[in-house]
Amino acid sequence: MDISNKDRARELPVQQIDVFTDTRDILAHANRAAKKRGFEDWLICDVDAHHTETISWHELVQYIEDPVIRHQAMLFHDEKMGTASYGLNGDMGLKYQDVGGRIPHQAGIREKVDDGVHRDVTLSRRAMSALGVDYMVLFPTPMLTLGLHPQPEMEVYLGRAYNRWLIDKVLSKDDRLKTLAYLPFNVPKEAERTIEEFSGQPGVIGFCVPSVRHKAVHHNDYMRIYAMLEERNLPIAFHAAYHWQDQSLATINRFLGMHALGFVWCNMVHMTNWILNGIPERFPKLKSIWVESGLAWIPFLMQRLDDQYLMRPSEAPQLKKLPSEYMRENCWYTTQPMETVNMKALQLTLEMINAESQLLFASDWPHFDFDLPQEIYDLPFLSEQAKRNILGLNAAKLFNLDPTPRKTL
Amino acid sequence: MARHVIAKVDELEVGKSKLVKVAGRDIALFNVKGEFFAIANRCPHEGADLCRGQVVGLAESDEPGKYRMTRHGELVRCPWHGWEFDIRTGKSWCDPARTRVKSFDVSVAKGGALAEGPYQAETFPVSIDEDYVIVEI
Ligand code: FES
Repeated sequence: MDISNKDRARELPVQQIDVFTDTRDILAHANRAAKKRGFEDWLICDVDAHHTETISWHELVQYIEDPVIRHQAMLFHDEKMGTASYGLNGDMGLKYQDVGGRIPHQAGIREKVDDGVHRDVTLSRRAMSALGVDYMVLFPTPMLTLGLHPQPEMEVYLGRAYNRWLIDKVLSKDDRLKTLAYLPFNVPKEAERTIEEFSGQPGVIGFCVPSVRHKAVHHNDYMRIYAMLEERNLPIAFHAAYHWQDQSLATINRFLGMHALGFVWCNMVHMTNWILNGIPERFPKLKSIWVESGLAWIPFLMQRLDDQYLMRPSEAPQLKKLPSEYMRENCWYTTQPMETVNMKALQLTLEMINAESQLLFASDWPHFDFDLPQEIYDLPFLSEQAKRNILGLNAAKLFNLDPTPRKTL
Repeated sequence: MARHVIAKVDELEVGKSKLVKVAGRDIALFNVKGEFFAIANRCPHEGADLCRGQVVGLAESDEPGKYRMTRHGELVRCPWHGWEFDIRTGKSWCDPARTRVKSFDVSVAKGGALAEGPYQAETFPVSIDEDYVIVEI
C-alpha cells in the first residue's frame, strides 16, 4: 500500500462551537479571509451590528430619567426572577432566530469577558477585529419593537435611558463604536428633545427610528424633526424588525416567513409614504438610511411606484421626478441580509440603487444571518472603487468619519 | 493522490468527529453509525469552521402538523448560518446540485496491512492488530 508520509496528519483541537465559544474563535475563519483579501488597507465600516442591551438592563434602567419609573424598574430587576426586561414589549417566547438553539452566536453570547471595560465594548472590539472592521454602528435588539408599545411614554423613558447608558458605558470608551441614537418617534416633541440633547455627544452620528410602528412618517408633527436633522446634517435611519402582533403579518406561522417579510414590510410602508409625500423634495439635504431589510425589495418598489406614479401623478404633486430617482439619490441602504442566490438579480439591484454611492456595508453581527465584508469584496461585477465605497468610504462620507483605516488584523 | 492514516478506528465513537490537518488541508472525520466520512472544514457559503457545527438529524414532514426527525447524526449544520450538509456526500441538503463541501474517500485498513511498505505512519505508531482510518487526498 502506498501511504504518504510527507504531509503528516496533525490533529487539531476540535470543539463544537457553542454559546461559550469566544467571538474571535467563532469568527477565526472570517479573520483569515480578511487577511487574505488585504483588508488591512481598506476602510471597513459596519453600519449595522448589534448588542443585546437587555443583558445590561439592570444597569440601563438606572439611567431612566423619571424617578418613579426608575425606582419601579430598579425594584423590578432587584426582586423578580426569570422575568423579561422591565417595560419591554417584545413577543416573549416567539424568538426563534437561533433555529431552536442551532445557531449559537444568535442564541446567546456567554463567552468570558474580563478586560475591565463594559462587556459590550469588549464583545464589539472582538467582532471588529475578527471581521476586519474599522468602525461599528451598534444597534439595540429587543428594543427595536418599542414603537408598538401600548404606552408611548415607555418608548420615551427607555429610549432616552438607552441613549444615555450607551454613551456613558460603551461609546465613550471606544471612539470606533458609533450609534444612530434612539428616536422616540411616537412622541414627536420628545424626539425633538432627543435630537437637541444627543447631537454631538460621543459616538452619535445620526438618529434611528425603529421601523416597526403604525405611525405615518409624513405626518406634519414630524416635519420639525426632519428640519432639525437636515440642519445638523445628521442622517435618519429606519431600522427594520418584525413583530408578531403586527396585524398585517398575523397569519404568518413560520419564523422564516416572518423574518423574510417582517423585516422588509415595515420599511416598504415607510418608504412608500416617505417618497409619495415628497419628504425628499421638502428636505432635499436630509439623508435617510434604510437598515436591515436586505436589498431585493428595492427594485420591486422602484418599479411599482414608478409605474403607478406615471398613471396618477396628481396624487403625488410634490414630486418633481420619478419615485425611483428619489430612492436612488436621496436614500442610502445597508447591505445585510444581502440576498445572493440569484447573482444576476443582485447585480441589477446594485445598478438600480447606484450602489457605488448609496450602499453601506453592514454585518448584522451577531445575528443568525450576519454577512462578512468578503461578501462585497468577492462580487465579480464590481470595480475595486465600488467595493471600497460600499465597504467603508460611502459611510465615511455620510457620517463624516476619517477614512483612514484604524484596525489591526 | 496520496493516502494518509488519520485515526485509529476505536478512537472515534459513533456520532463523534475529529479535525485533522493533512496535506495542508483542514479535514473533519466523522463516525456516522459506524461508517467513516471525511469532509473539508470550510463551509462553501461564507467559509465557517463547518465541522464545528452541530451534528443533527433531518426534519421531515409529509403533511401539515406531522413532523419527524430522521437520519439522526447524518447531517452537519454550519455554526454560522445553519446551512445543512449531508456528511456522507458533502452535499448541501437544500441545494445538492450546486452547493457542496469537498468530501474525501475514506477507508479502513489493518495495521498489519499498513506496516508492509516503505512508509511511516503519521502521528501515531501503527500496531499490527488494530484498525486504522485512511483518507485519500
Ligand atoms: S458560512 Fe456556513 S452557512 Fe454560512
